[in-house]
Amino acid sequence: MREMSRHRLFLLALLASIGCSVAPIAHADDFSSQNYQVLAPVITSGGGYTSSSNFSLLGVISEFVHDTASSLSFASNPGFAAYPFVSTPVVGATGGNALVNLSWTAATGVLGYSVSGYSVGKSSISGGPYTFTSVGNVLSTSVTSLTNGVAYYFVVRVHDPNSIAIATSSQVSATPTAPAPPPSDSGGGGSSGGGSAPPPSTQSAGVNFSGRAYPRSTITLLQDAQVKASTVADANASFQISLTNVSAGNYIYSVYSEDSAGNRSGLLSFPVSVTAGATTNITGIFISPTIDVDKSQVKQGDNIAIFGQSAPKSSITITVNSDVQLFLQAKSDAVGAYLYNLDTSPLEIGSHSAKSKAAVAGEISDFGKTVGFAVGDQTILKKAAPKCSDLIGDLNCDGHVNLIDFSILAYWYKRTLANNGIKADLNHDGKVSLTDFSILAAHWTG
Amino acid sequence: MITRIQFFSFVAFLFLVSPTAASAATISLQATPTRIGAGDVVRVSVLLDSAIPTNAFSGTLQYPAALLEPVAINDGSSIISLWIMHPTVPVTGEPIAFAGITPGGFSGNAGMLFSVLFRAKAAGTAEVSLAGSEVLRNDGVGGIEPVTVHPLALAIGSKSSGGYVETPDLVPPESFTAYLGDDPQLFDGRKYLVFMAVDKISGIDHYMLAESRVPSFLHSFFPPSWQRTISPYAMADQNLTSTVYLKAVDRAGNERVTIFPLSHLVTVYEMLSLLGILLIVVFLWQKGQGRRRRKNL
Repeated sequence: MREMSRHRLFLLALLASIGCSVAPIAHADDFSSQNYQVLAPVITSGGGYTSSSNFSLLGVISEFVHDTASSLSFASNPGFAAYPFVSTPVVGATGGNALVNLSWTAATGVLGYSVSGYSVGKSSISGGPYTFTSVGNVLSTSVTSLTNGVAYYFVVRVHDPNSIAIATSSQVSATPTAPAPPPSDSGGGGSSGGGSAPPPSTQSAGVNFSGRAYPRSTITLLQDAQVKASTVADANASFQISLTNVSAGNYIYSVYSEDSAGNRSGLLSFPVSVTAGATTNITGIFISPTIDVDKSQVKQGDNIAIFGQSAPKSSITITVNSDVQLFLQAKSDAVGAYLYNLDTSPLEIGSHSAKSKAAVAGEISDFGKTVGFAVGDQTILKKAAPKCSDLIGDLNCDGHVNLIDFSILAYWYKRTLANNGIKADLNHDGKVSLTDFSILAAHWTG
Repeated sequence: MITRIQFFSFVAFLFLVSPTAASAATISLQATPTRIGAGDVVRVSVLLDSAIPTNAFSGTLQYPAALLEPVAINDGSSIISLWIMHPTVPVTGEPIAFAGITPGGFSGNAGMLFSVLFRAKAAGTAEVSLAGSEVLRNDGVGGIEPVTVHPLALAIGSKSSGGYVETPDLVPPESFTAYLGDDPQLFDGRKYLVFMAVDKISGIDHYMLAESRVPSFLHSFFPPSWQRTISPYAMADQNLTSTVYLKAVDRAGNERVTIFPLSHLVTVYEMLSLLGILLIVVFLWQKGQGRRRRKNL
């Protein structure tokens, strides 16, 4: 009996010692303290993420020397912040007859994450639990067999090739609605026997947009490239825009915001199919952070400030594109401002660029605009550029890239460039072609 | 057993030799309805699938003119917001060229670029395809996105089977805005208006424009003179003293009017003339007053 309890005691002691010796797995996002730093991080990969037939990574990524990998299809990114991530989709939901039509933007995987499919979670309770159904690698689906008049809540999960969920959208809701009864006096319109477009409806619809921008910033909404509405975000950077009397049809909606320094975000676009008489809810819009630098050229070894604005208390990842890609971490403050002083000692002489993305409350934005700087033998402070040269595509220097600039570009399309037309050649290849229009479209402000 | 090994070897061989699917946009041509006969109308839609945001599109739609006659173009549900080259119905059976952009980019499935309504002229198999197609990424530098085109083989029977029937468009075009521009190279530096309206069902057919200095409440007596126009439009009244009435008309004839207000009530010349007249009146009045005073004395 005494021997039994001695054995039990030994077993318990053994288990306790094992429990104490196993270090908990830390995620890159977990380090937020300013009082300590991690010098020798170890990231557990989880295994199974390699696709190469002659290279497999199943164990632990420890510190390694840069450029030790020789495989052409395998890249290594040193730095603790260099971990894969995927942007969360913007999701739209429209109620139909006993169904809800869902559509979402493509999630973008970075640093090894590739998106191979999506699943849709459904619940009749806000916040879940959700019942997930895999829908494949598509960007829209219809959830059927629903009860009209009951509100349903949906999330979209993003899956990697191993079917592991790597991101989940914010929740969107919609209520299926029975169609309005046809007018009693309708008697015409015989069947043609052939194909035809869906019957037109004069019933208008509504579209609600919600998401995050920057605290107290102005958000501009474009409908098919033209400014439709604008609003101001609250102190938490949340915003909502509602459109009413929208005709049924397919639209491209885009949003952008402007930070407190006047820097604009990139344009975030999503296609929306508006159904007559129904309301479409678009949620999870996360406008990517703005970014700027304090020097156009920095002396090698000096610091350069990389700063911008995002949602408050966001984790900001800044990537610096150089020979060695750097991944830097910053945190935005209560007004959404972030700052990273980059020591340029490791950067080679030449041109570099930086961009940033934000993560907060489980949502991850896409990367925003890119800012360029040079590393040289002297420091040149960045001057406040005149708006015209600052904004690519602003051909008439009015601070906007819109229909007027499009018309100027269209005038020079396939013409011999001369005088003022040279400015229309946005990629400086000596002609105005589809590429210049693509550049204009990417910098559109409406 | 040998048969099984051979089978698996064959499957493995097929897997190895088949091209791997790279990230690429796909443009497919879709017919509605799929079964048609001579004399029927068929709608051929040009659809884009793109996993990453793309923002500029161009190409040329080719079709056998002996079998198909284009009768109308519909850009009503197009993902293209701005046309560099709007597809038009050709006069003598030429291919249909198009080019346009989507600010902010499009990613998704079955995004409609435009559709063409063809009338089937005779029985046979009509091969409809896309040549020189170009799709550019929304990456800020106009990166080229590889495109895979799925052409359409349209079987046309000898007898009519109904064909595609356009449903009536009862909705006017969306409200739109005109912008004033001036550029030294365009219209010799004269002021011009740019505009673009959207109609989600039948598409925009044309624009009409009228410049008038007559106040709107007098239009029943002096109606504005409408003329067909395109964007950009060089304004006739360069002094901007006229109100510009702009009308977008869809293919069903529904209209939406937008107004570009006048900037000045009168021109500088008119202002000087009025001042001159006023001075003369004051001068004459003063002179009359002086004469009256002298008479009274």
